[in-house]
Amino acid sequence: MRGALVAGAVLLIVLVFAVDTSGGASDFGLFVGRLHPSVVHFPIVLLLMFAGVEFLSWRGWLATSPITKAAPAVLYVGSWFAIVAAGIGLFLAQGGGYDLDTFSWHKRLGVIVALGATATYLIRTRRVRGREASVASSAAGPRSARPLAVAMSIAVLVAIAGHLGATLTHGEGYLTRYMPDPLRKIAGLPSKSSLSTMQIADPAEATVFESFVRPILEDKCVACHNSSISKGGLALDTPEGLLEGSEDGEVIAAGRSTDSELIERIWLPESDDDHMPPEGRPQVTVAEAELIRWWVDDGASMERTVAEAELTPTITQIFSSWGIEELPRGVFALSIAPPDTATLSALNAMGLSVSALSEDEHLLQVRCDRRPGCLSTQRSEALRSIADAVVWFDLGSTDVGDSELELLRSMPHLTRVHLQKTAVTDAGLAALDSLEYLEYLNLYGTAVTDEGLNRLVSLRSLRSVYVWQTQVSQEGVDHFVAARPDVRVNIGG
Amino acid sequence: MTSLERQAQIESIRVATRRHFLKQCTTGLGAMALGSLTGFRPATSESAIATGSLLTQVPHFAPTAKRVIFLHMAGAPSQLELFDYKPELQKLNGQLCPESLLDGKRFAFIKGVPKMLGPQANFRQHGESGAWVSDMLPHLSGVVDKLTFLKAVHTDEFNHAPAQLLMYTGSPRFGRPSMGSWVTYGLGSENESLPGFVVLLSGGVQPDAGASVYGSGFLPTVFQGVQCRSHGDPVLYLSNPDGMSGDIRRRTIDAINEINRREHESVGDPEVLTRIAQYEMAFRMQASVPELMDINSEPDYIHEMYGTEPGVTSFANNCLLARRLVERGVRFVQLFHWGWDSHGASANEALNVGFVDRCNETDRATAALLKDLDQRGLLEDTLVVWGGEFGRTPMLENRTGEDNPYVGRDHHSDCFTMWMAGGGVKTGITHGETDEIGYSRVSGSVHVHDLQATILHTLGFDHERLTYSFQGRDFRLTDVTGRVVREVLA
Repeated sequence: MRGALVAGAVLLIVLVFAVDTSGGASDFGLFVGRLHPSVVHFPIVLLLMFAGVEFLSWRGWLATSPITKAAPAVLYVGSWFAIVAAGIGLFLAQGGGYDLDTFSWHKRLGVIVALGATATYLIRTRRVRGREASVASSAAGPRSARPLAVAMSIAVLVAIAGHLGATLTHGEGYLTRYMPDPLRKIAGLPSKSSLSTMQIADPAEATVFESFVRPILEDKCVACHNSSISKGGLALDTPEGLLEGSEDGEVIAAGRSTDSELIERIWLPESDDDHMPPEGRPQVTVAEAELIRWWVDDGASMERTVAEAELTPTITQIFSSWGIEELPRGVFALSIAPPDTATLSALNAMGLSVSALSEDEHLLQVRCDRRPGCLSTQRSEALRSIADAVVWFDLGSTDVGDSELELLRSMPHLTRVHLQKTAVTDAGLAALDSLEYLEYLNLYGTAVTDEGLNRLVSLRSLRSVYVWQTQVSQEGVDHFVAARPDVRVNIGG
Repeated sequence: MTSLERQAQIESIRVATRRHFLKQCTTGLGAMALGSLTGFRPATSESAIATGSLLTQVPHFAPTAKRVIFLHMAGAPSQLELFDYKPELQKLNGQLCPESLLDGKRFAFIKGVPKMLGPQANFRQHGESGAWVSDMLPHLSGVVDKLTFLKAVHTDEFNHAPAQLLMYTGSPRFGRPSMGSWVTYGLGSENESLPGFVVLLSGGVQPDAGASVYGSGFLPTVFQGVQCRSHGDPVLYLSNPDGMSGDIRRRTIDAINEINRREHESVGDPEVLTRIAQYEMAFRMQASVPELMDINSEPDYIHEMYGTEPGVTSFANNCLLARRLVERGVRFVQLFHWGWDSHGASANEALNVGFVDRCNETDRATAALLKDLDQRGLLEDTLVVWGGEFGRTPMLENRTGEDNPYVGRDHHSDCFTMWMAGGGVKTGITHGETDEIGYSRVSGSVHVHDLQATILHTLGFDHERLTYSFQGRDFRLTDVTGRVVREVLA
């Protein structure tokens, strides 16, 4: 009996070195490997039972109980099952798809438990035979704590290895997912409510790839597709690897999710052979799959920020279910210092209408009435001191001319500017050159010409220009739109 | 806002009488602004009282629309003759309606088993968006790419007055403030000499629900819609009587206001303040309104474009006025054009007669309004909404008997078409779908409360937060429902 056990232990050691757990599974190997979960619970129970009997004997509570006689048998059978479970576990690992860190610890501890239990049995029975007594007799009264310490160590290792095994099967956090908040606090875990919400600290900075796509890949794909184990030649742990694709070529086609193999495989039914992640592994959720698809359709950029990306209703809905509402973009994503309230009051007292765009931002809309002196020196001075916060500036039908527009140079965050029916000419538009956020420019009823319109070509955020009743010609508009097809130019009529 | 704060605001109006305000505005406003920067609002002059802007809110988020023009086709035009093209219905024309469609349904007039009625117009696809529009709207067909169609709007009411009330006040019964009042309560007016909410009527009949569809309900009455007429005195009783000069009028109003002020000091009713504000506003309107309403000053090509004729009451004139109003900073312009109630009971109520006339009366001006707003750069931040209070049945209504030369349809609350344009909604799309006979919604349902929530959303307001406390309860336009139709927001 002892000899067979030693042989088993030696075979396990050989297997640990012989079986390459990083891949190359055969069907039969996998069949054997998949018995691991059905076998592994026997050694767990038996070895814990052994430790329990040892503990109770040590306390002297089982003085005359016949159960103490069973301890060596329990340890023997437990050791055998531990060896078998560890051995076939190595074959299961060949199937891949496990988190590497967790697996390597699970493997190590599993083997240590099997060998440790075997060694304990061998040492324990040899010592007892020397004294010509049974293990059970040692239970007759308190004695050295050393054998107990060994038994308890085995129990602790079994618990840790078992937990790691469960983590491999069910995923990280399976045990604590529904833990009540008070317990979570004691365990030093974040509260339950924070788990369901994906947080974006600053949408202007956070890129779609880093905030959403990468965590999903890390969670669901990288175990099998990384730089060291790259199944199918695909490594998803780095952006470079993702772009490089697999041995069959690229797996993502920027802007075309329908032509991207990565997307296709995620969306295939789970029963399909080509579906990824493989059957039985933690699956990509629908929301996650939508996010990856969105990222690919949006150009699969590594740099594009959440604020820059084009939102779809689906993504908006996903975000909103995570409590991320109305992602700020453009000037709304900037942090602009609150303007001085005394200045605001003074400006309103001067007859300008200055008001907050909304309660959430420190952004202002400014409107001039049609009385003379719209941008007098005094008003301009006051406006300069709050210039950073002004985003909408309505100077329509006022007496402003080219020289007053110089003020706009000090307002870098303007998005909407009304200059319709003013004396503004091409020369005045030079003041707009640096307005990188300008989206809307109303020039209708001014003396602006084709030349002035052309000046606007470099305003990258520009979306609409109104040039009805100006000197701008249809040719001028065509020329402009050829250079900037993303801008709507309305020439009226 | 707590009632205490509101009381404080109302008190501040009391203290800031016209002259006091001018004297003290620097220090007074400074102190107010310090209180809350994010809630900073432009309260520059006495206008703050008159426009009620001291009472108004700051948008909850950045708006995409600054003003609204609501083109209400009172009487409820048939979606099946204008936008909701149903070739299948043509095949069923004249057949008896299956009982299963009538089970559990209530109609305003249809009794027994009616016959199905195919589309009474020819349809064609238009624009890049390929939207189906009937030949009855040749001008609007040219601007479909500016529109977002809502094909599956539904309401709870199948009679005109309650349905109009539901559309404009969020409740089918009297007493709630109207949409325009909520909007001006939220945003105030951009023009201190004009009311924030103006109503223009045409078609010869008042809205069925009366002035309640533009009333202020329990909101301060400064927020009620002011009806302007394009014929005769633009605003009734606004002109000075013969022999009354502007100066005498000013002194009269000063005296009345002084009396009202004392009255308010003794009884404390905030409505007295509203009365003071309205006298002031009326005085300023004596100068501003005649200029505004005089469309003679418009160039010929504009008259040509809209089909306007100075001096008459018409939908076209009202469309032109609507543009002039929003140009001057009016927040909410509400047009009602009566005559779409096509039951087929008389020529004027027939799809083949009166309905065609209504299309001819409105089509050109509606398209012109959209184009004109657009070329002035106004359409981007002006939300234009078109629709009736409900839709019409795919069944023929034949109240008078077999030999009726007129065809018509009954009221239908389950689905109808509306469209929106400008103000931050998408362009050239269709949201929602009805079944192959246009009887039930299939997808993209938009309840009237959803529409209201969406309109408020474009103006920067969370419909659940734009509330007013009355008789112990916070009321809102969308009552206890409403979902923003994000699918149509650009």
